[in-house]
Amino acid sequence: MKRSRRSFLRAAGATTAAGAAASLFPWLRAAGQPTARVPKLAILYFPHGTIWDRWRPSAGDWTDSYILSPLAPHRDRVAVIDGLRIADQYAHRVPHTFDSPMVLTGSPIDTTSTEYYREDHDTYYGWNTGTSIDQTIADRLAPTTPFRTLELGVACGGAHPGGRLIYRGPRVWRDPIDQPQRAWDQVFAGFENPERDQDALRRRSVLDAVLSDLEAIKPRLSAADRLKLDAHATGLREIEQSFADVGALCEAPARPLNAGLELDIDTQLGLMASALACGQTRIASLQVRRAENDGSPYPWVGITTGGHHLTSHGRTNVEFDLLAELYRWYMARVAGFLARLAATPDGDGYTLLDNTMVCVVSELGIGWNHNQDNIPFLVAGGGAGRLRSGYLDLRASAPLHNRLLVSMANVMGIEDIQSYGSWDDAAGPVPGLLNPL
Amino acid sequence: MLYDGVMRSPQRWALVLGLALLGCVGTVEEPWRPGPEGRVELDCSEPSQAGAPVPTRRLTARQLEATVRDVLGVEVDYPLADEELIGYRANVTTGLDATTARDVMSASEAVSVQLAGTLAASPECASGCADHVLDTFGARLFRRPLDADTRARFAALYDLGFAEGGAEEGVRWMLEGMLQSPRFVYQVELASGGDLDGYSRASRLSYALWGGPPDEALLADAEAGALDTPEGMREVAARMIDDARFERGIEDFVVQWLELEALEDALSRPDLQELDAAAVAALRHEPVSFVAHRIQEGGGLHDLLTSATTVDDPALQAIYGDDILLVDVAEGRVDLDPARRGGVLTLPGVMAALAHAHETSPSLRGRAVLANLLCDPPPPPPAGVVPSLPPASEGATTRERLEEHFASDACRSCHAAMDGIGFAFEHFDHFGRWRELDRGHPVDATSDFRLGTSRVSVDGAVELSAALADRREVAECVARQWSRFGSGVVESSELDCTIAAMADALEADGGLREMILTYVSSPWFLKPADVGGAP
Repeated sequence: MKRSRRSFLRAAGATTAAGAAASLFPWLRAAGQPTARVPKLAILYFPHGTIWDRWRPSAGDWTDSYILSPLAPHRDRVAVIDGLRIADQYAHRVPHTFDSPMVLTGSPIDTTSTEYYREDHDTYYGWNTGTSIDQTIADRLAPTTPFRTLELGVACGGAHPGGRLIYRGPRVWRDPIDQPQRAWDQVFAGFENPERDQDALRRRSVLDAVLSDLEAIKPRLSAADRLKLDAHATGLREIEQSFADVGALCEAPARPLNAGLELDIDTQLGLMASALACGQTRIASLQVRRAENDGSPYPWVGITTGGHHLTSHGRTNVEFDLLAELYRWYMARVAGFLARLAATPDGDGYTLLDNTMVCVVSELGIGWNHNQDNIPFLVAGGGAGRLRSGYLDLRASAPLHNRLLVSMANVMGIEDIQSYGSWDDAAGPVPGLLNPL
Repeated sequence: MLYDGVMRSPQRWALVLGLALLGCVGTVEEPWRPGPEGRVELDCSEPSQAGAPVPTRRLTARQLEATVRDVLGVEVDYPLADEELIGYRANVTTGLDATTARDVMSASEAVSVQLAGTLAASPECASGCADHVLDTFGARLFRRPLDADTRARFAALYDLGFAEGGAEEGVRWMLEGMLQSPRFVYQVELASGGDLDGYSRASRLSYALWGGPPDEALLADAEAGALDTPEGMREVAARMIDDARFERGIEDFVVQWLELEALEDALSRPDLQELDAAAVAALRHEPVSFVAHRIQEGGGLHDLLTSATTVDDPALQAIYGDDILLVDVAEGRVDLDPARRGGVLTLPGVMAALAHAHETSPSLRGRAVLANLLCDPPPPPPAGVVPSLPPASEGATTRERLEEHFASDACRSCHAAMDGIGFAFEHFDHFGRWRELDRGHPVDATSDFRLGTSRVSVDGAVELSAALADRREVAECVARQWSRFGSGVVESSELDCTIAAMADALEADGGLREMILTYVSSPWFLKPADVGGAP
């Protein structure tokens, strides 16, 4: 029987008001606790850190920060963290490339590999050796959502170690979905598809045949290639899981346009909010560009030549002013996302913002000298009641950013993760960030 | 036989110790200098028999699209990002995950639903539709014959679809499966007796030389054993170079080698919108045709870097202006003014790609020569400096601005080489048009720079190209670039003797073709990973 999911929703007389929606969200049903708060995680990456003296607030009230000021409407929902550093034990570091994949893995790049050759550095290296925290959380929670995790991107380009942040395991990165239309096709196309049931039947049979073909060919390949095909098979099983009839009964967003580059940030964040609201996933990320050699100009903030990467090498007020405009513009995008989450009901009396932990991350503290002693991390949202807000000054103790990765796991309900990543040197979440259980 | 090889330099660093407030100022501990620091003797009396360490590669998005187009006659878009590890796209590390596999699934569905109706209605389908489709497309899509189990697997998928909706659904289900099969998505290479089998070799050849899958004739060659020997590989590859599809394969190489994708970056190059779309397309395509013709017509490195004959493309007439001396309409070629143009580096598309919006960039052009023709790119700019130029002061030429801005020690160590080379191209503006004046002043295209232990002094791009054409390290670098493109992995010392032989070939007449034939008949190309090794 053909059944439009939207028409079903209408027929059931449901609305998207908080109370009624709660009973319709399947993961709540599955948990058997219709009013339980289910934490969600949204990670937003922007390259090249910040400009300290335009970022740092003058007093406890952080909203007088020029760069952060667009977030002022959410002042009670934002924690500004001042003083987390990214570990650096590299004998020789290729900036950005080595740091970017450390942001979410807390583990170093493989410096013994010769897979990747940077001729200008005359250096060989490989991919990251760790697993990113979002993927570990997904492994532990084994979510029943149609999408285990969702990775979105804006202009992330081809795959190389400096341009991928999400790692399913060592060497196994995940590509972000770069264009909004492609993201919509992946996440929401099924909502409006009147032939969804027939498609699912056919796709299951086809994927079964493909899985059996993968198994048949494996014995003829090398051990490394067999791992590659195993990862492929895992991906196919995840696709099969997304056919399960557990998609949320909510209004799918309209298929968006690909506007291109930064104009897509808002669109991608809108899709992410919808995916979280509709229960398509609980764990999502957005990667804006890649840090390594991004030569694109940002004419709307005045960066017209040289691009972000080269401009970030500058250390005069000329470059600092331009970059501060860009980073403030990025924060305005984040503010829009928070507003969207705040306007979306999620369970009895709560909003999506109440239940989500939004982490804004970067690979550097400040661009010009590739400093990673203090990364401008930001945590927003309620994290289902676990997160505190305000300005957290940790500069005296300067913990590793791995504390933030632990905080993500804790907020998502995984308390036994107390250290994370092979370069972690301590235990526990970011001091002062979490409410006690 | 003893070869002179270029010694690759050890890791070198421009280390900035002191930093001043504005721009490119500071001191450098160890100046960076391009070019060979010495020669090493290479003993090639017993050359390595090692195969390239090439893993099972996922086809690039472009290769997937070309395979569907060639075999099924359908255009489809694969929105997949490819790995960019060595300057040439090659997916050596990972296969597909849930996201990318879903993209492949969507493409397979779009193709299959287009073809299923027609195929199911064809007369051949009346007696055994699954067999018909498998016989017609199976070996082409998978680039090797199907074994009985594989046939049975996809025939069973046909039966499942047939039960749901007759022959059309059967074809649809089966094609969807085939277009998601690892045999389609990956370049699956099989070896026996320490050699890649003929089908693996056929695919390596066709994706490198044609940018697409083997055709029926090439698969028949593989079956007949024509690819089993180095001599056979040379013979077949020579035939493939003369085929029309060679231009598609060489496009993949040239566009990546010469960084022509910059011409598609509308945000960085808003100035290109001043040209019509046909001119921009021609800027990108002319270097491809130029290189293809040099190879097909028996050119060597000298020809590649000095020829003033190119293809006739009306879309470029406004760019070339009076650089065109003679148009041979019958042959479809033009002769350019050899005082202004000579060789691939002087083509407008190459010059336009290596420029900023509305202005030239001697630094970009010089860096590209160092990276792509000398395989010795300078290190990235040091911390604390902004390598982009400050706003133009009134009337200063680009050269004057660069010379002033990069005068400090911190910058000069790299910019002396980059800009020193790049200044030779100053007669070409940001669209690659010839110019006599820059901001009202006569162009100074004299160029003086150190290369290894020697000093190069030239006036203009034609002289620079001629000088490069005589350099052994350029021949070796072009060989290295081709190897990276051809195998998807960076070369190791196991390849040194092959690189030397390829460079020898390049220095002679017919060299470009001979370089390719030398490469595709080398152990590096013919043998699987982990076989052979240093003698």
